[in-house]
Amino acid sequence: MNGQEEKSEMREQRSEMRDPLEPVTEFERELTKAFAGQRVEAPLGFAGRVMARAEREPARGKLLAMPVRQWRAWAAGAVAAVIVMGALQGERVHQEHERRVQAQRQFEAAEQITDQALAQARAQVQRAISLSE
Amino acid sequence: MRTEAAEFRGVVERHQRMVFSLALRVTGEYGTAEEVAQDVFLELFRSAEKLTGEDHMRFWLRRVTVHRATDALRRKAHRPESAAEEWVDDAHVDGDGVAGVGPVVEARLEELLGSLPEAMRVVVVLRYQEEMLPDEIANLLGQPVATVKSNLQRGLKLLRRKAEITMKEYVR
Repeated sequence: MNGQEEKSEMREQRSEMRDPLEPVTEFERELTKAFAGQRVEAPLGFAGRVMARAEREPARGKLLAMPVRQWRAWAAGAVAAVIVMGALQGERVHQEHERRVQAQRQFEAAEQITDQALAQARAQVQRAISLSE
Repeated sequence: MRTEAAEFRGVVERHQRMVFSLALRVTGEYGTAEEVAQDVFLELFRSAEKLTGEDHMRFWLRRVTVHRATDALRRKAHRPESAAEEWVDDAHVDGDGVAGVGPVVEARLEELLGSLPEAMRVVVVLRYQEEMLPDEIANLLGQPVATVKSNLQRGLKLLRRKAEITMKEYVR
C-alpha cells in the first residue's frame, strides 16, 4: 500500500467513525450557509391566498378544535344561564299562584258577606210578614 | 373573528418562509410546495387553539410540513431518485469542503439535494436548513435517533460525492 492509498484509507476510516455532526466539516458549513441562510421566500400573495381559504373554512372546524378547557367554560356558562332562567321562571310562576290564591280568598270573603247580608234580609222579611199577620 | 383573522395572518407571515422552504426542498417543486404550505397553514387554522406556544407551533409546523411534503412526493413520484447505494459504495468523505459558496453553488446544492432519496433528503433539510440536532429530528419524525444519524451520514456522503463529480471546480 503506497502513502497515497494509506492516507485515503485513513481518511475514509475517520469519516466512517466520526459523528455525522461533530466536528462540523467545511462541506457541512457550506450546506448550512446554502440552506439555513437561504430560506426560500414564499410566493407573492401567499398569506392572502391562505387567508382566503381559511375564510371559506366552515365554522364547525373551529368549534370542534376547541380545547377541553374552553369547552368546560362554555358549558359552565350555559348551565349557569339555564339555572338563572329557571329560577326567574319559577319565581314568576310562584307569584302568579300567590295572586290566584289571594283572589280566591277575596272572592270567598265577598261570597260570605253576601250570604250573611241575604240571610239578614230574609230574616227581616220573615219578621215583617209574621208581624203583619 | 376579525382579531382572530389578524392573529392568524401574523402567524402565516411569521412562518411562511420556513414552511415554504421546507416544503420546497422536500418536494422539489414550486407549485407542489405552495400547495403543501397552504394545506399546512389551513390545518394550523383548524387546530391553532390546541397549540400552547411559539416553540410548540414551530415544532408542529415542521412536523406537519415534512409529513405533508413527503406524502405529496409519494403521490407524485415525479422525481426519479438515483440509486443511492451506487453513489455511496465508492464514496469517500475527507472533511474538506466546497470552496466558497455563491449563487451558482447554492443552486447546484439545491439540485443535488433534490436528487437524494426521500429519507435522506428530509433529515438533511431538517439538519442544515432548520439547524436541528439528530435527537430533535428523531423526535419530530418519530424515528430512532440511530436511523436519523444513519440517514444523515449517508445523505451527506451522497451529497458530497455528487458534488465532487458535478462541481469539480468548487469542491476541493
